Amino acid sequence: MNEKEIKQLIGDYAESIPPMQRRPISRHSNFKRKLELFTLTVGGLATMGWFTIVFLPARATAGTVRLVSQALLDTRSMEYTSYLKLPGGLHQYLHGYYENGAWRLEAQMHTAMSNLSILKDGQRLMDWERNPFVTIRPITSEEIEEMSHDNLTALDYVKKFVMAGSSTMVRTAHISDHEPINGRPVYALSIRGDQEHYEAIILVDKLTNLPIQSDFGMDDPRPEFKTSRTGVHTEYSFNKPLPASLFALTSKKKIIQAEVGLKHLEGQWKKPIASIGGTDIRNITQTADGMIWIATTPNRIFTPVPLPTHLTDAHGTQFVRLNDIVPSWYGDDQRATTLFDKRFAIMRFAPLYPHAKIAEELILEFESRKIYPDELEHKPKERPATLVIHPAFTTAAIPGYFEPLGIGPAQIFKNQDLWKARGKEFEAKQDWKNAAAAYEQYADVRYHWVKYSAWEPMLKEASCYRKLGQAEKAVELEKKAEALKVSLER
Amino acid sequence: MGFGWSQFGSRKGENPGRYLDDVYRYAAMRIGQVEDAEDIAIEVVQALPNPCNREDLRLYMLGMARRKVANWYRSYKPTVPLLEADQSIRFDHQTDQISMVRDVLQGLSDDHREVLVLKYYFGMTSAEIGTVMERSSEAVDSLLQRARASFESDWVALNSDPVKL
Repeated sequence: MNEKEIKQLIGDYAESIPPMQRRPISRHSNFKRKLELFTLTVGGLATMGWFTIVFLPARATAGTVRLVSQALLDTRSMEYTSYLKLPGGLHQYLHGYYENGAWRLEAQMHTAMSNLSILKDGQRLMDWERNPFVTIRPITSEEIEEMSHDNLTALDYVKKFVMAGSSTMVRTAHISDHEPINGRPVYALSIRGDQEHYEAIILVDKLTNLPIQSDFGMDDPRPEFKTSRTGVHTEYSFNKPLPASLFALTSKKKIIQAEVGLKHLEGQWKKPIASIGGTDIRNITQTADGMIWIATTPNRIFTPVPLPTHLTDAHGTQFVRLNDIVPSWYGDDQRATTLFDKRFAIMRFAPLYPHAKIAEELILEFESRKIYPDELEHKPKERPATLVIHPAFTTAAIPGYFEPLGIGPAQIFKNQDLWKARGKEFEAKQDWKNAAAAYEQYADVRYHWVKYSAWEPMLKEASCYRKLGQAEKAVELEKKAEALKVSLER
Repeated sequence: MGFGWSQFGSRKGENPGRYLDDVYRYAAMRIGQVEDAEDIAIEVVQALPNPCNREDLRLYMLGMARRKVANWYRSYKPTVPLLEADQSIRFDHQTDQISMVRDVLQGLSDDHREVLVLKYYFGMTSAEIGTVMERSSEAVDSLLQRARASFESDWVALNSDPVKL
């Protein structure tokens, strides 16, 4: 029995182990927990103060859904508005409504990712402002299961809302009298934690026991933001009549039923373009900017399989590989979108130099690697497989198959990924001039996404200028980056 | 809802969540029980310092899982296992083979099972395996050789036909 055979057998066995059904609520995922409780919503979660990355909150989304899916026991309706406390003042990021088990959440963490979600009757409507369509999908059995127990009072709900920080944090609660608000008697519930200077105060109407407002704050746990403090202020009102239209699962935009979209794609892609070592290539599309998108259904995702790693053409065009994308309804890797009972993953390549002339025929090389984490398994003796491809062309910004999946440009950070990859590649080539230019573009894209998040590519750009001997320019950029970072400006 | 979307590969620093599945599968293959493996994986993530800035986070987490597996064995009381639902309804060749691999692995000594999993599932080098198992590379190589022989021998015994190629 040779090693290859043992590897195959053990690999098959490992892949047959069902995915984890539970996820940790841990110190680490408490970062996410903070997020879900902070935002208690959807879109807003993408860029909470301490998360510069938008990919992390996957789990937070699911958790958030669970929380909002629960019925409130002692109130017919609730409306609330949440504000981030930023150095420049309050920033409204969430407006939420609840009535009779239905929820409407309007998230405005920042314009580029503004979205609306409505949960009602076992369905969820998701509308990203910058997408030309909305998606409706069923709330899953897992979420429904969560809905069937542990319903909350409005005050319990707010307690959860402010419960940011580590689950292992020791918290103490204290109740005290507070001066009346609008002539009504009020008490204050204070909660303090022994880590990160966590503190929360909930003002509660003594007569109804319904919360009036909540505030919480804590040190920013991100090492690079250790001097920052962040927090959320929320105001609540209860039992006001809300128009039914707020919770209607309708839209003026095109409505995509997510499950139908998947079936539609399976019908279109029944026969793979090619199969290499268990990886089926389903679609290859070139967008107008020269980017090549390769839709695949690999046999495996956590163990190495042959996947596209390099792209060349007869013109000698240099391509960079961008990060893989794995569509998911939740952004949770355990519940990723599947096609033909396999995971669905998209690999992308872009010309290193913008406006490069690309041949119609391209050569795609495969190497053994994982999708997640994306790591090449270097085997010098193993010759990579190659495939000659002729991509379909679209003038759209992203391939058309994203739409049936309910994914639009707002959710694909194409330009961010593109300029980041180019910057990295130029850096590797020690082409500091082009690297600086790429990072400048990257910073620009991020600035128009979440302003302060541009600080990081700005520092990279500055570092390139230092390499070019332009210290003055570098210092100027570093100052600008620092100011942006401290501002946490949206 | 909400985010509805994920992008892998754009990782900045070491996110313990990256290795959650690795830890879970490692534990599942070591102890052969999915639910307890989930507990172990969850406990590992919960026990990590915050923030965790280790460069060798994956090995570190597997090392933690290893100690938790050892504790699990110490408190393990054998019970009659129930068939996993998906295994009880599918008896095609692949499922059959997977069950046999599981049986063979579970029949091996714990060291043998562990070294095979680390080598052939996680694709680790002997040095990396040595870090997790707290042994020298040479000791790992030797252990691996014996583990392969045991696996082959048990595999042949379980199959009616020899599988030597």
